[in-house]
Amino acid sequence: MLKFLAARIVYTLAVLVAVSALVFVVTELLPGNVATMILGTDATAEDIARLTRLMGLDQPPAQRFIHWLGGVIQGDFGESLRMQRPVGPILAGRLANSLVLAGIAFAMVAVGGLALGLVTALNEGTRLDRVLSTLAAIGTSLPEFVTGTVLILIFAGGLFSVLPPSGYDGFRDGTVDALRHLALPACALAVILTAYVGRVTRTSVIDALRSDYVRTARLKGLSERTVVLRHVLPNALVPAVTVLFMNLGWMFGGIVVVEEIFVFPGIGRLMLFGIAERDWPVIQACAVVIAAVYVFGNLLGDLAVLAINPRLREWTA
Amino acid sequence: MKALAKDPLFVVALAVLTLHVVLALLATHVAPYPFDQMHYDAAMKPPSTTYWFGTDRYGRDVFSRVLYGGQITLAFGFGAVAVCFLVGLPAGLIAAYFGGIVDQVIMRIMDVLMSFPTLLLGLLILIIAGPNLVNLILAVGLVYCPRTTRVVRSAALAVRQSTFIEAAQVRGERAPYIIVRELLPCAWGPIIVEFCIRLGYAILLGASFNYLGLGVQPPAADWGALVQEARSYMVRAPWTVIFPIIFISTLVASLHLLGDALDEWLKEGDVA
Amino acid sequence: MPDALLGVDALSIAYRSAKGETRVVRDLTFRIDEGEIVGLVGESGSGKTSVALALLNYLPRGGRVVTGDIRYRDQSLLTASRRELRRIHGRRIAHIAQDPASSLNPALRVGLQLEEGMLRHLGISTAEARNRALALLEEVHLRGGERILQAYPHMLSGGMQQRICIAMALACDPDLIVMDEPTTGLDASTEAAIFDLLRELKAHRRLSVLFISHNLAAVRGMADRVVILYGGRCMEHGPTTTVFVRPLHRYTQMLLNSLPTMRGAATGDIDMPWQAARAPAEGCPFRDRCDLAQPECGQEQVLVEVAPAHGSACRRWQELPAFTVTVPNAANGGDSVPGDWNDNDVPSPPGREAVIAVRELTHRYRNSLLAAHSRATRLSLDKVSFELRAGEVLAIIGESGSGKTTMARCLVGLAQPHSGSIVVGATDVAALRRRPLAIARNLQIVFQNIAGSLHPRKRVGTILERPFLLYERRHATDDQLRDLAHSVGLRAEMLEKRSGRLSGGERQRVALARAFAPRPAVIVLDEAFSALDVSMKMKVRNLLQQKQSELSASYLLISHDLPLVRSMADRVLVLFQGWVCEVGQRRIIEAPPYHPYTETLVWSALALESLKPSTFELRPETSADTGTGAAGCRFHQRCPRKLGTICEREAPPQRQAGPDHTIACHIPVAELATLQHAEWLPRRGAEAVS
Repeated sequence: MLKFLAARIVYTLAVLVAVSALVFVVTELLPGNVATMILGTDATAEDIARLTRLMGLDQPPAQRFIHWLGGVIQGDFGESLRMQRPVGPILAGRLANSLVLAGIAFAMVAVGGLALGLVTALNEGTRLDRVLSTLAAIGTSLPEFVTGTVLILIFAGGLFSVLPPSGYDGFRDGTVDALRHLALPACALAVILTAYVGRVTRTSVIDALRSDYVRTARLKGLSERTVVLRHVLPNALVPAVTVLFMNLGWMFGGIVVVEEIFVFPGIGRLMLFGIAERDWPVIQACAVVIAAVYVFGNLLGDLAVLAINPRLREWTA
Repeated sequence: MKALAKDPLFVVALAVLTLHVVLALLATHVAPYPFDQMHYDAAMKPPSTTYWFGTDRYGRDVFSRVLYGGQITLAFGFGAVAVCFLVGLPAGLIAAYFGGIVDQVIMRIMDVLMSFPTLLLGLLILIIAGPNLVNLILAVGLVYCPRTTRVVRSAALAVRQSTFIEAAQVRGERAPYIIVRELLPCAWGPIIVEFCIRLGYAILLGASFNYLGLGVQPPAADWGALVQEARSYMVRAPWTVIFPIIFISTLVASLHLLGDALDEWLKEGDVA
Repeated sequence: MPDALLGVDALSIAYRSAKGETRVVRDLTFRIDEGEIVGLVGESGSGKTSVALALLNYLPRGGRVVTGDIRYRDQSLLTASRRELRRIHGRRIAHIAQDPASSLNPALRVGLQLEEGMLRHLGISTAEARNRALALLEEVHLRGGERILQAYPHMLSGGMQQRICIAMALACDPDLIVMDEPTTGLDASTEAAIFDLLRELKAHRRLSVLFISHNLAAVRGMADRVVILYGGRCMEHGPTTTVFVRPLHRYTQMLLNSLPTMRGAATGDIDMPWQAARAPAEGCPFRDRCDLAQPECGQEQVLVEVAPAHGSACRRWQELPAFTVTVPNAANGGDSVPGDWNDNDVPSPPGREAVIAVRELTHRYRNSLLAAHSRATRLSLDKVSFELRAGEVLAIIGESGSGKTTMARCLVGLAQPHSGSIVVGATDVAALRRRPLAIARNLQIVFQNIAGSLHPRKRVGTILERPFLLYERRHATDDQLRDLAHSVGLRAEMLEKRSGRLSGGERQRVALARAFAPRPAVIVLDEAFSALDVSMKMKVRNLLQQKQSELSASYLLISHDLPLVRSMADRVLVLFQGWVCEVGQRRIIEAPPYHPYTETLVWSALALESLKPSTFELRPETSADTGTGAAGCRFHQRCPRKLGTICEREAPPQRQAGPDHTIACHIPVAELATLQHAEWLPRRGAEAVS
């Protein structure tokens, strides 16, 4: 168990380093000389050369990567080229906002998806199942920019004006206000994954319901409640939870789009700003942090699955 | 096949998909106006007999733009899936058949690609390569090829364990014969399902990139870009976003439902 | 007549599919009285499992009871509400399923699964339930008490899991237990031990049981009465002692005639046509396979009371040829048939040359595959040497995990041995990555998984033609293909069919035809019989024997089925954990001296036929095999004749027990022979006196 845990953490760290290396290399390949970008095209050659030296850009890439990675570990992501400020503090605030948004959406997906899957599976073949399953299939076809746009059209200006379409500014104006601002983005982020997790859950619950051990349990004369809660759920949850956490990656992609729609001051919009402005320290920082959140999310998922599956616990002991 | 033809969801999905493909193919003939023709006197007009889906801020006909957008959408959808399968089909089959080190190497490479959040990897690729249709296709294809590889591999792996593969090995057959003639014919089912589902997701992801402005560049616009363009005035002129949304949702939903129906049908075939 | 404990009355079951409704059981009537064990016997497709599921109200989707009734005492189970059924299931009627591994919930501790039924039905406290659970473990001979209750199912061996399932069924002291193939998939020795347990419970608890099985020998040992099913219909029913001794249905006669046994003469002389794809729906379902069928057999079938409590559905029961099975008195259990114990030596085959010579072959599992279970590398084959001689049938026997299948896989090149040599002709193929086609051609294999060994989407003709294309680079002529099909009893039309559409028996014959096509010198039969129905086994065996004389091929028969081995093999090699403990002529499994491991195998096989000597008991299986010591005899932990520490410390010597017979044991051969003769035979002497 501990051994497995250690191995899993080492693996996670290795992936993180690999991902940062990839991000670094990718941003290195960005077209255009950075110094030229900062100083503008009419800068003199000496100015460019001086700045290049000043920023350490004349050193070999490997050395700069190690230097940069060292900084990242200490929370130093370098200085934004456009904003002329350290990236770290800006990032921290934006990340906090994004985590609040993602956390709420994740909770919605977990509760909604598992409930959807359970309800459809337990009513398999009925009209309710058919309607909900078809809705779920359609739900997995709705990208965030579609759900986001539709939500704004319905709740924030089109049909009704009950929720704000933008303007989240943390919890400064009270929890209620913050939640009102979070409601639409979180929903937009959650719809597609709720539908997806719901479908996976449905399949795994149905598989469990048809299993021999559930037959054994029923033929013991146990009540249907006991059969479902004690015999079906612990087994059916394993694939569902695995998929739930595996899709954190999708969510942290989707968050970029959702933040753009709702003008949400999160890490996704910061990254889009970086891309638009060719501000490579910002891009690097955002990419690494998003990847890190994702990788740690997967680690969390593994631990969750481990907690509910005794056989895995045994094997990895 | 008969059971499939009786499934109403399958029939509807197939009809919707066919309609989308036909509309995209015939866009130049069906569209009443060129996609970039501006009618300054008729900006932001609601749907009417002249402009079926209304007009946008520059007076461009939304119906025509949606039809041409379908061409772009299907182009990057099919293009990206082609990339996925060009990489994923051989990689998955080879990994499954040979196993061992070969499998490990192929799948670890895919794991590294998969350890990026979906959208982020595509974003990074598009940042380096620059936003245009070809790069969009490559980016989406590259993002999704590990998933296709996995699906192909697991489909092939299920067949790989069959005794008839061992029988062929004992008989003295060579690997290419076994992979192409024995393994592949039995793995088609899940691969076709994967094609439908993957096409759906490729369109979703590609449209999202276009929505972020990282794909095709104006004045060309796919459905994602159309929604993006109209963002600032969509509350005043909802038709500018509603029609592209309806088009992309029905297309992707039809692909997903098609995949589901095929999957269900294949599973039932296994039981019988 | 008083109400039966369970009454099944004119039961018909049908399944709905895309093609319409198919009846799998028709008009079945039988009853179970208290304290009675009724055996429901049938081959695959006979509908026996559907009957079990119907009476548990657990037919799968699409299945339904069309007509008839199932009553528990005076209550109809078909019309009972869910509430009523929940009170009956587990409390009054319990169920033991086929596969214990999948019948236990992998996520819950064994104790909870054992106790939850009692807590629900008996209204007792948790502490009481725990005590009862512990008592139940005692009763099913599981030692370890609390520790087992705390375990998860996957930590137990298959035999232990099935004992848990039995304990679960007994938990609430039910009136009736439905056992659906309770030992299929278990090793012979485990199977024998489970049957022992069931017989013991039968004696102690006065159980009423519906015992569903395809295993005739097991049913003969367990059941008071039997119902023989074929094609969903009752062919014959009656007391076991009557039906299995003087059967009055041609089908039952054929079944018993086809059953290889540990005693008695070779069987399979009633010649039946090959099994058709599907039994006819009207009239006698067996008629198209029956050698005595007449046109009127197509008329509606009637069950005739041929004797009190003995019914036969055979129209011609009065005209059937006299057929008596010389059962070595199953009822009294344990008497052996005189004569068999004499050393009726099989003439040893003439000194033929070896077609395959295996020397010191060692194979180990790759670490990664086994890592999940144990860290130690285990040898699956440890310096195995033997030769396969021209024209002989050599059987390799042993339980699962003995390495016999690994041996087959090494021979045909599917597994890579670690060291040692396999010489075919003049070439050592052990280290070759790819074998020359000439060698592949001469070494064909027939797999256990018959259906799986044929590509499901190819036509039979294409499959049969492949050897010609591969080995001779030419297309086969139509005549050749037709002859090939005919030689295994397949009609020429079959060549056009896709293999996925064939019946099990047809596929088996296509697989055989493909193996015969290149006229190989050696055919490896890797458990090729284990998936076959009783009636098919002898047909296939006879076909193989006929082909052997035609092709003068050698067979390597990998099997755990001792009666079958006895009916086919010339020589026998006994493997235990990859180690050869005994090798010799067929008679080494027929009479002492036995290697102690061979002895346990023979004992288990005899026990399944209720023939085991009562004076000699083998240690029942209690736990999974643990690793063996570095030195010493591999078998010492399970050996019933262990001498002492010498067995743990020193590897046993190879002792010559006769011409062409080697036993690897510390006990001298003569001593083994004396001991075993004394323990296995005294009953015969005693009986002779009385």
